[in-house]
Amino acid sequence: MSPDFNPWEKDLLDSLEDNSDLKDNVLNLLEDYYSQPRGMRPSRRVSAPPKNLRADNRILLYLENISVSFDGFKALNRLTMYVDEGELRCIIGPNGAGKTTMMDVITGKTRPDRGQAWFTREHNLLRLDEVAITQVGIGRKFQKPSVFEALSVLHNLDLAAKGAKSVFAALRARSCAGEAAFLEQTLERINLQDNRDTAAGKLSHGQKQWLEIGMLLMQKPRLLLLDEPVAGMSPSEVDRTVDLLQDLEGEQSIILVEHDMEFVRAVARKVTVLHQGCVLAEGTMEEIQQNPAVVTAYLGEAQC
Amino acid sequence: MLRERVFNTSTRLFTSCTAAFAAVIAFCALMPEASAVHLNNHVVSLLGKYLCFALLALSIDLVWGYLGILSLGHGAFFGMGGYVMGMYLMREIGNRGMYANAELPDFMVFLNWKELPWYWTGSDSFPFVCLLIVAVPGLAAFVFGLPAFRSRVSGVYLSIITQAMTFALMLAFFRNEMGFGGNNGLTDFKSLLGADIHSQGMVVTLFALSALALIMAYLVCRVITTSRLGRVFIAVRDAESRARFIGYRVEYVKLAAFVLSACIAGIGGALYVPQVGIINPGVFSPLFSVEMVVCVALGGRGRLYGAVIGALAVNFIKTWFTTAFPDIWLFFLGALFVLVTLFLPEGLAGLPTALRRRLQGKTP
Repeated sequence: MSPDFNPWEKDLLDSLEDNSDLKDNVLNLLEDYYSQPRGMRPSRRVSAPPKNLRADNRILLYLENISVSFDGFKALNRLTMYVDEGELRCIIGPNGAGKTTMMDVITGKTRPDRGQAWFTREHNLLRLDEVAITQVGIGRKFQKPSVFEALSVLHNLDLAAKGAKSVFAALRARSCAGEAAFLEQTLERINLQDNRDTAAGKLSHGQKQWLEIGMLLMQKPRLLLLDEPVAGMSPSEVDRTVDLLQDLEGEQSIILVEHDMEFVRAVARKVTVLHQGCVLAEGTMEEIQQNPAVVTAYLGEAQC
Repeated sequence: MLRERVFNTSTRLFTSCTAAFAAVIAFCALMPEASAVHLNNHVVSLLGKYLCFALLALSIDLVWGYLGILSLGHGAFFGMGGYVMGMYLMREIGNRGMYANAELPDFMVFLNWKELPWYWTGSDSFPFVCLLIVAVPGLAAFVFGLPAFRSRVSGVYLSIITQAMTFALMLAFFRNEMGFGGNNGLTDFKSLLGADIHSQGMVVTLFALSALALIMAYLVCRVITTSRLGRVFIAVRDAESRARFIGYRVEYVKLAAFVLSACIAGIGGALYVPQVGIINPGVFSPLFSVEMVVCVALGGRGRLYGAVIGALAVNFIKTWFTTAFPDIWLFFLGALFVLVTLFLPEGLAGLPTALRRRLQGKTP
């Protein structure tokens, strides 16, 4: 037995003494885990499984009854929403509907007053901080393109690559080692292969947006949150972004917040409309457009 | 591979220039007094003092230029290293002091103290003191930085609390009860490791050590800033929340750089004290720290050598100016700062690039 096992792991193996198949399985899993370098091991901080979450194994993200208020203003009001594995979900809604606040809750930037948020049935998002949430596989793009302007495109992507990110790991790391092939692939995907050595600050607005998406892809996330990725893009850039997102669909789940209806129509299968902090309607674009509550919400007041 | 990464043109130029400068000065100092090129001890110590300031400027550039942390209290870490060294030098005086007390430094005898305070324990052991020279500022930076970076204090607020820290230390060190000599600080040093501190050999050795420390600190900073960690620094400076959202614990990145920077500043302070012959609470004054920040800005930040150039240039000018026109030095420093910011945003170190651009007729 490997001396690395901690007491509870040893207890577990001892208790499986009678069931040799299961014991071998567990042993293999543990050995796999310990064979990885310390910094690369996935987080084992798994919270107690939620009892009252909707039971459905395809669901990747659970948001249930989330409420957030700022000085009495209810930014989110008992918001409930589920996102499936591999789904591309668009969120639309008028200004102040709570779209960005919802993203803040998912990524740990804002803590809700009540409700629960789970990523798969393993990770309680309300117990993790921003960095830990990134590590369990949620990547977020900000509304304003934010890339590391002084660094080259290649270095931007390299820094984002999945791997150990402690101070000492970064100090020891050789640049661009190991992940080179994946990096090339990502560069091509975001169409910046000719700009690899350009400083990110010199890129056009649209290219910065793509670079930021590329940085998220380097982390191999299971869920991507994109906040208005086509804001300020030229029509041809928007088309390329549509291609990029359709290319990604199925590989990872995507939540997209967007104002540009043409764009939403081009990419979305399922659309959620937020209004005054809760879900007003959910369905395909056609269903949404015919929904009277949505029409009134965009034109005037509506109650949900 | 490490050599290729670290030793670019500017690094080779910097290390060879510094080494050559130190060699020439040491050579001139050791020439016979009748010789035309002879430098007296006073000049050599003065140059050594500049090198110590350059170390402090370098440490400021590491956190300001690469991480965007503007510390207006780095003089505190310099002062801590200096006071540790000063305590050792006080103990070395032994019974050669005015009161000829082998156990207690003069100022303690004067205050009627009967024994050394506990925190002076071990200050007579040189190896222990060498350890403390980096450990005390490093630990102080850790204790200060951990809550500050964790609670995400940044920008001008962080600058203000660093300044408050150094100001608080200044007030504390002014008090006689603190046991660090109060207003007068620690002075009247006689010897270092048994050798006369005013002897030519000691003066030249200290000067050479300062140059060596500067080169070593420069190389350490270079190794770090050219590593992946260095790119993480720049990432934190340019887009802090982006860095956090791709999985870097920004607070620890900042803390590591801040602690290292404090250690370098401490070494600078420790070399400064024997060459200047005194350390007093003046090093904790916010003005001193701000002046060093101005040096870095003048030299050009984010290049390491820029900070060194800035510190040397400003202090050369200061030495001349405060003799010629002592009253208007601060006005002059302010004007210099404004002019350089306006016309040379990249500082003196950016001058060659700016000139080249001008010659090629391109607008910057």
